[in-house]
Amino acid sequence: MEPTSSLTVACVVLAFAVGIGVTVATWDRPRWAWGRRITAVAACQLLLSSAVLLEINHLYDFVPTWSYLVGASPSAGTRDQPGRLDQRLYALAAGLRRPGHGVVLPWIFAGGHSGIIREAEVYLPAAYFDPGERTTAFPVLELFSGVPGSPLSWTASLHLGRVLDREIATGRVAPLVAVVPAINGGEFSDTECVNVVHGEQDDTYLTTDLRTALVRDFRIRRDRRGWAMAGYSTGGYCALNLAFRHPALYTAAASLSGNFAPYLDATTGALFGSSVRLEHANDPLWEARLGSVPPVALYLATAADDVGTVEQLRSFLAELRSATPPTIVIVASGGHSTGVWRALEAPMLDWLSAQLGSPAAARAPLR
Amino acid sequence: MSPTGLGTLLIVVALTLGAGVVTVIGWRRPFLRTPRRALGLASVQVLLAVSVLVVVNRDSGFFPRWGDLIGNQPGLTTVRADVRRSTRELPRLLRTEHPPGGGLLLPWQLAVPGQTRTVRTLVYLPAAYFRNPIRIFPVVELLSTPPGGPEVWTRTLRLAQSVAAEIARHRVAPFVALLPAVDANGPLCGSGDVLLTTGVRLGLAAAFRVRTDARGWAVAGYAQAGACAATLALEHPDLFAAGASIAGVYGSSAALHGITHRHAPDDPFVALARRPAIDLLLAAARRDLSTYAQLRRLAAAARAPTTVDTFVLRSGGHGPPVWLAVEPLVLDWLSAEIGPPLAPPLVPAGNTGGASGT
Repeated sequence: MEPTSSLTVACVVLAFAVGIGVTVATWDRPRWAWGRRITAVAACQLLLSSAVLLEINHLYDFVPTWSYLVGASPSAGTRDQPGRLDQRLYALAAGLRRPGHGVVLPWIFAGGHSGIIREAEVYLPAAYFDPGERTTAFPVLELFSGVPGSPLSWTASLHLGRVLDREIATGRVAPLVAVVPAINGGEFSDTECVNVVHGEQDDTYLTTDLRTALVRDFRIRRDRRGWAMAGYSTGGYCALNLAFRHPALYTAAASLSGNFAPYLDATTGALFGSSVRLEHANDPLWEARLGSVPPVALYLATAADDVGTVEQLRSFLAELRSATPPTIVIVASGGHSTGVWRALEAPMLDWLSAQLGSPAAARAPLR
Repeated sequence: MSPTGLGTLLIVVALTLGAGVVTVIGWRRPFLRTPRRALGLASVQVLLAVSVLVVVNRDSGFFPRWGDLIGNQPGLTTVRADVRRSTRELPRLLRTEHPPGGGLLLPWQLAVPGQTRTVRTLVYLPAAYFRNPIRIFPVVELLSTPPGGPEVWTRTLRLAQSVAAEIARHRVAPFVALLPAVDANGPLCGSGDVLLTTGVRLGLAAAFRVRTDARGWAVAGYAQAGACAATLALEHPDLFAAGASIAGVYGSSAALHGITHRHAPDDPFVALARRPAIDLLLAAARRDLSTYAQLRRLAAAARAPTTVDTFVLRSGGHGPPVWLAVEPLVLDWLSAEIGPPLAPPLVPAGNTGGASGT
C-alpha cells in the first residue's frame, strides 16, 4: 500500500469514519470524559488531514514511497550495484515492452564527484531496441520535477512515457532517451539543485555525474548538441540555472512555471552561506542584467494567472539581450498546477526535440 | 468569486464556525443523537480541513480558478500547427533529375524576397521528403565556386548517392540540400552578406517544407567555398547550427597568416574572437600543407562556446579525391547537428506568448 495509491486513501477515510462513529458512541461514558473526548476528536482530525494529504499525493506523486518521507537514500545493498545497469533488467525491459512503445525503467546512479546516490527514472524509446539501431547513440532529455516531487512526478503524474511514445509515433519528436533524476534526497528540504555550501553538491550530481553514469549505462550522445534540460516549478529553475552554468553541456533548456532566481526560504536554508557572489552565480535573472546569458536555447512557459511566475518572466525578458530570443508560451489559465504542465508537456517536448541533434550512429571519434 | 478570493475564504470560515455552533448547541438533544453528533462532528472537521486548504491556496495561488480544481483548462486544448502551404510543392518542373538512391535533384530558380532577380539553385530532396508529406526537413546549404558551381557537389562528389548511402546505414537522417549557384568567395562571406543567409532561406521556405530556424540549418563547402562556409557559420550563429569546411582554404593573406587586426571580408579570426556559439567541422589532408596549416590555426584560435572538430586525412593532397574521402563523415556530422525531419509541433491553444520574443 504505497502512499500514492487510492487504496491507501480509502483505508484512511474509512478509518476516519470509524473514528467519528467511535467518538460519538463513547461520548457519554463517564471515565476520563474530557481527556478521552479530546483525544478522540484530535485523532479523527489527524486521520482526516492524512486522508487529504494522501489524496493530494495520489494526484501528484510527491512522495512515491514511505521511505521517501524519512529521506532514506537507497543503499547499495538493496538493489543492483548503483550506477551499473543490470543486464537482466535490460532484457526484462525489452521483453515487457510493447511493440512500438518505449519503456520506463527505474535506475540508480551514484555520483562519482558528489558522492550522492539516488533513484531515477529512465525512458528508452522503442527505437532503442531496434536491431538496426544497435550502435545508435540517442540524444538525451534531462527532466526535473518540482518541490515537493520525485521522478515519479514526471513518469506517473505527467505520464511521460505515454506522451513521449505518442509524440515519437506521430513524428513530432525524434527518438530520444529521457532521464528524470531526483533533485533532492527525498525529504521535503529543497536544495534548488545547487552545490550547497557545506552541503550536498546537487549541481555536480545532476550535471557531470549524471552524464558520466548515463553514458556508461546507455547508448547516448555525449556532446552538447545531444543534451537538453527541462523542468516545472522549482525544476524549471533548476533546468534554467544548470543549463546557464554548464552551457558546454546543454544546448537547450525549458522551464514550465519556473522561477528565474533561487528561492530561499525555510525549506532551503542558507544554500549559499553568506556568499552573495555564489548566489548571483546561480541567478539567471542576475545574469540577464549583466548581459552574460550563455547561448542556450530557451523555452519559457507559464499560465497567465500564475502571477508570481509571470512577474519574474517579465523581469527576465526586460533584462535579456540575446541574439536569439527565447520561445515564450503563455496560456490563459491554470495557475501553478499540474494541469498547466500536463497541457504544456507535449508542446514543450516537441520544441526540445527540434533543438537536439539526430540520433547519431556510433562512429570513430574525430581528431 | 474565485477559489483564491477573500469571499471564498470568509464563506468557508463562516460555514465552519456555523457548523461548529450548530453541532455544539444540538449536542445534548436526544432526537437521533448519535447520527446527528456523528454528522456534526464530521462536518466541522471536514470544513476545518477545507478552510486550511483555502488558506494554503490563497497563499500559493495553485488553483486560481474553479475549473482548475477539476482539471478543466479551457484555454489549453492543443491544436496542430498549420502544415506549411507549400505542400503544393513541385509545380510544373521543367527538368528534374532522379539520382540513383532515390530522391530528386531540381534546378530551382529561387525567389529572393526584396529582390527582383531570382537565384539559380539546385535543390536536393531526399526520398523521405515524398514518403512523409507533413514532415518539415532540416537544410544543409552547400556552397560552391565557379567554374564548377553546384554541379561539383552533385556530379564530382555524387551528393545524392552519398546521402542515400548514409541514410541507409542509419548514420544520417534525411535532410534537404540547397546548392546556390553563387560564387561563395570574397565579399559574400563577410558579415554584410544576406543572400547566402537569410535571402535563400526565406526563398526556399516559401516553396518547400523546410525549417527556418538556426537549429535546422547548417552550411558547408569545399576549398574556397569551405572557407566561406566556416566564416558564415562563425558570423551567424543565430542562423546556423553548424558549419563544415572541406579542405577550406582562405584566399586573403590575413587569414593565411592569422593576422586579426585587418578585417578582410573573409577573415574568420575576427569572427572567432567574438566566441560565437556554433559548432565547426574542419577537414583536410595532412599533406595539403597550407590548408592543413590554416586548419590548425583556426582550431587553436577557437574558444568556448565555439567548438571545432577536425578530421585530418593521412593520405591525399588537395582536390576532389580528398573531398570525396571525407564526404560521408562530413554528412554524418552535419546530420548529427541539425536533427531529423519532424512533424509540425503541437502548440497550446490560447497561447498569447507568440513564437519567440515577447
